[in-house]
Amino acid sequence: MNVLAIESSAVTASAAVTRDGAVVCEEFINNGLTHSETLAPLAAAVLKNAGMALFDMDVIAVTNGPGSFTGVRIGGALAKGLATPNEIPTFGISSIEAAAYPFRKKDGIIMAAMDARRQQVYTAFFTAGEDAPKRLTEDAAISLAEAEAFLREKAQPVTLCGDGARVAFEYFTKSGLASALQITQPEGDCVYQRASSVALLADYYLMKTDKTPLDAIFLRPKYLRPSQAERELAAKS
Amino acid sequence: MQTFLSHSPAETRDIAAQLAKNIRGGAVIAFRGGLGMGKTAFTRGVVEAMGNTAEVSSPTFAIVNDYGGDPHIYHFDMYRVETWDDLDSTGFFDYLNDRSILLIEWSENIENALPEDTVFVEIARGKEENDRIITVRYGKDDN
Repeated sequence: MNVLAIESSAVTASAAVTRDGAVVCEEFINNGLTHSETLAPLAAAVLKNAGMALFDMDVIAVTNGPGSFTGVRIGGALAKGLATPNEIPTFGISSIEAAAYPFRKKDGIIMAAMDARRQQVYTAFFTAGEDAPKRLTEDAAISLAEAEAFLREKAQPVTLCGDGARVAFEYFTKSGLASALQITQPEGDCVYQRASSVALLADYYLMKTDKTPLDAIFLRPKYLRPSQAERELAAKS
Repeated sequence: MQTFLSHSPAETRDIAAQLAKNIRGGAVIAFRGGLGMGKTAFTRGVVEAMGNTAEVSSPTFAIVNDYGGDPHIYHFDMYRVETWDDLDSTGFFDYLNDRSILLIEWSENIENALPEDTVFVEIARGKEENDRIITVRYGKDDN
């Protein structure tokens, strides 16, 4: 199975082509929110460098949230734009699960988090899995205090990933959780979700589970709204 | 806090250009004050002073105009933004980063989403018809 994957749900963007569960080509960019200009050229570049054409693809996989509002829209729009005229089916992958994917063999709890500002994260918790991380919770927008309560109850080593790993680690260091539990924060760029993970997850779900791809018109973004508590938006007049 | 007196849209533009000298990527400039006060003239002054040649117009319908450039300039009109969901769907939070300059009309509507170091520009009517009193506050504490 050939998969073209597109990922632009965070500050980074990437595209990848995989063939039968192996990465053929991947491009990654970390240059601010320039996705509206860079994502389509990235997708074209991976196809070209893989020596393949769009019509060789069996499915177009895309992260359909949560994350940056404009980023998720741009990825979804590009996936639909490429899929529809070429009658290629699509498949949505959680950006959180994509961030957790490279760490799927880690013992303990894998917490993939994206920064949702004001000490909140888009997150989900996983444990180790063979082909995909095993999900313990659904993607949710929660406070770091809630995340900490979950981790304290589990009382297992934690691997943090996602672009919110740093804010989460800082919070857990201040709160004392980091001295109570063994918390690992991966170094460098591997915290970011990558299109190769998106493609490999899509390949796994479509080849080894009963999940099926979607016609592009049914592909929907899954936005999560961080809680604004009782805060008013407007100034008191 | 600084106060300026302008007698014309052209002067408003010059005052804005002067202020723009101290503005860097990451700045948020929030306007307070009603219709016809010269918010667009002020914005034009800032955009020109940044060496940006984009055509400035009020983003009433688009909600956000993208003027490009380096730093990248975005011009918002929050008149129709009423809820946190509305604001989220403008992509506002994606634009808040240290490479961009945001100029925001009707900022009262999103007061509590503005960063602490927002520069507030209040434009009020002066004695003569074309007179404007421009008050600039640096940060939410500068009141």
